[in-house]
Amino acid sequence: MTGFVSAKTWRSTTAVIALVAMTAGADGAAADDAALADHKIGYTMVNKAVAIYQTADGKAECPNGLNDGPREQFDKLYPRDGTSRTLLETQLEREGEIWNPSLEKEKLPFYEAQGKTAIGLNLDGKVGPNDYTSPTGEKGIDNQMYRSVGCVASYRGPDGSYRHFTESYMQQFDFNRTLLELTDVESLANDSDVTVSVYRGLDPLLLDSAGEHIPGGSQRADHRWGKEFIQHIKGKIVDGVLTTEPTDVFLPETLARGVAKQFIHAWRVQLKLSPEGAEGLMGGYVDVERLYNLLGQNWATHFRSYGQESLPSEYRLFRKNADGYPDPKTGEMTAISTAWEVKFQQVFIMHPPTSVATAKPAKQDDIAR
Amino acid sequence: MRYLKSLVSAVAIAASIGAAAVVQADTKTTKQALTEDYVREDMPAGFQVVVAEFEGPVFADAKGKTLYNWPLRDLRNGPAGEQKGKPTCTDTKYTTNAGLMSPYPGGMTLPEVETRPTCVQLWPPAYAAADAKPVGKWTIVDRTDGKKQWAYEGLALYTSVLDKQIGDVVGGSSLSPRGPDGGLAGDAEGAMREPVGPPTAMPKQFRIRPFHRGRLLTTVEGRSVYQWDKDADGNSNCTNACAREWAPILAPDRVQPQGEWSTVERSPGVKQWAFRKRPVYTHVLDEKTPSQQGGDVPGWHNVYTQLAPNPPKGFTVQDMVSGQVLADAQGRTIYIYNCNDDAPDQQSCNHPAAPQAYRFMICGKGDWQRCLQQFPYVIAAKDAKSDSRIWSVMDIDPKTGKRAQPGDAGALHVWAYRDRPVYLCGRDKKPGDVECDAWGEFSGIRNGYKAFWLRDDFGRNSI
Repeated sequence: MTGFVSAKTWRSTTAVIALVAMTAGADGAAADDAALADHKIGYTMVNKAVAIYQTADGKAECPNGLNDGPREQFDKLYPRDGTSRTLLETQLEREGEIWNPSLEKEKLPFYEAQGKTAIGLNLDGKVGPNDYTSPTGEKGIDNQMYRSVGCVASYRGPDGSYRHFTESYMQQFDFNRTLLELTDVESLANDSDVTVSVYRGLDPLLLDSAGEHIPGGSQRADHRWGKEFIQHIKGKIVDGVLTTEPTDVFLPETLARGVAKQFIHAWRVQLKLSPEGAEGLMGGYVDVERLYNLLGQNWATHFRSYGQESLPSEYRLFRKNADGYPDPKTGEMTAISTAWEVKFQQVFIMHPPTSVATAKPAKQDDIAR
Repeated sequence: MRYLKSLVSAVAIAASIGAAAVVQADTKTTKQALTEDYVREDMPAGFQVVVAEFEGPVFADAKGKTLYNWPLRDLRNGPAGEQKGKPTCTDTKYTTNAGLMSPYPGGMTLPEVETRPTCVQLWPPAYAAADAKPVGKWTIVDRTDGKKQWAYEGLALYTSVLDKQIGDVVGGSSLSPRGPDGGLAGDAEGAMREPVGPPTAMPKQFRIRPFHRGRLLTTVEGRSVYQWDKDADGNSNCTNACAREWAPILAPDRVQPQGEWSTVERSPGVKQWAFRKRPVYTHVLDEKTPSQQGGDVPGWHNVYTQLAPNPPKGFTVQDMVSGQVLADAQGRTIYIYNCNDDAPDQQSCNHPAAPQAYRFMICGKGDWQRCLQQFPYVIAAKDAKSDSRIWSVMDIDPKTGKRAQPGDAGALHVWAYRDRPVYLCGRDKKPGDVECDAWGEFSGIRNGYKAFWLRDDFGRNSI
């Protein structure tokens, strides 16, 4: 395991270490050696998007076109035909529906993604009737999130608004990084037993002058407030691809105004590793209620209108397509299988001295001095 | 009670131009009641400065009613509020929304439209006598009804019908629902009224940021200001490595001590600012502006010109994944309800005297019983009393959400902050949970609930 650094080192080397890393990257071999110093390498997430399988014109998966969003639904429900209406029966009714969603049949159509192909992982090791086949032919792909939001513009590439702002906010705000630290690594090509630790990172992403992500930055791991995010998971590297054992995790959520975390059951990654970064998929079963609240809290109806994303409509599909973790009392599924396409850049992860990690924060009484 | 007596004395002293900073008599009280010093400016007869317990120094009329302005804000679909010299708060009775709240259109009939007051009924203008003359930053502007109105720095002044006593600042606050860093949602909270006061007495290198904890001192760049336990009055012991992590805030070499501000000489000719005699610093590792992270380092503290009153006895502070929230005695997070309507006069709807249809739709889709389950009130003991004015207890009829008389059947005796009930979240299961934060329109700042944040390092709520 990684040792904790001294307080002095923690505070003074943050800037220096990035320069060292960039210097070390002069040639491939040197970069590899530097990246695996002490048999470890760190990565920080720089992009995350729900994995959406898209054909060129979208007609195969969305034969009815893309779904209506809040503006379009509002105009259809309350046409501007001269009828006198109250705020209570229009705007407040729609917002009330968002914050108190129901499973009653919708007045307007809302379409699932069609077809048998989806990007993702086989989360349960089975090939079920609702499972997809990946574009490369792997069967048993579990990604019911795709079925639910595959025809929502906000989630579709290349520039759906949720995709765009998720990446934009990762760059814009220096908090809520998702860090992966691989330790006990003998080789980035093959190693049957590595440890993958998850942390929340505290520092800005390293960008070049063109605004592109580059490796070699440093990230302080949050051991003070972010204890809930810390996980140590077993993994293996085969032919340069890291896979991890399924584990229940909280992951930091950058696009956050309220609760800045997402709970995922049986989370795992499948990442192609390099000394400079990692790229691939992560998957798991997302708790539907936590996800729904997170989407509503972080992203107002105004913003969701950009990407034609109707939250109450999605809720019905999340609940309908949920395929994991049955409620022990009702048997109803509480979580939905999801895959994300993710990108990471290599970083040097620094751990705080114990005094910082365990510092007692100022309480109300402490500051009244 | 002792604090209230001190406040009244503060008002009396402050009302005379040129008064010294307020001094409290009792040591314990002094620790909690140091108040913010302000610049004594010329003002018209009949006005005064009141040092409010949360907002700091504010202007008040002769009756002690706090003065507010209504600055112009760019909302999503157009501006609302007032330009300098052009008061628009009138006796017009608006009946429909304006459509300034994207994505929803205007023209919808407002809740409780029959009894909806006019802007002037809620915000009585600070009228000026026909022969009134401008004084300093105080000017006189013409209203559309032909009357004269006082303005400060060009913006027309009003009182609020919600303020009842001298020192009340119930009508509006300098602390936006978005939090002091502005958040991510533009002016989504609407065009809100703000209390108006004299400038803080401090060097131009500094500014004040209001927080739920108090009035935080920062640099003009927004960096938090800190003090160190190991410093002495008038002397800095932070040198070498310490000074590389904690940057002394240097003062111009010819500056003279003023009020609570003085300097310490770090080396010949190099002066550092000191506030209330203690040297001040910024923390070079702070990532946010402002920040409370430096206060995690033992011995270092954020600096407040004035601390907020303590919450009611038994309330607690809970750590959570993003920082700290105020909680009840069982550790359950406290929530504040925010609401501003979408009419041209932008009336607040977060007070129990306002229409409750907004809140009921968010907390229970119009079902008051569902609201009680999802956002229960914070029940106060029968004999509960607040040590401050900003916290109070009141009786509420849960069926209507409006004030009830003590003893009314079904009425609930509840805690209130700024004269508005506070709430718990039915989804919170353990201390530190904030499942209902940002719940409602525009992440809970326009019509919805926000956790009572005391610190937020990773979101955009409090700091």
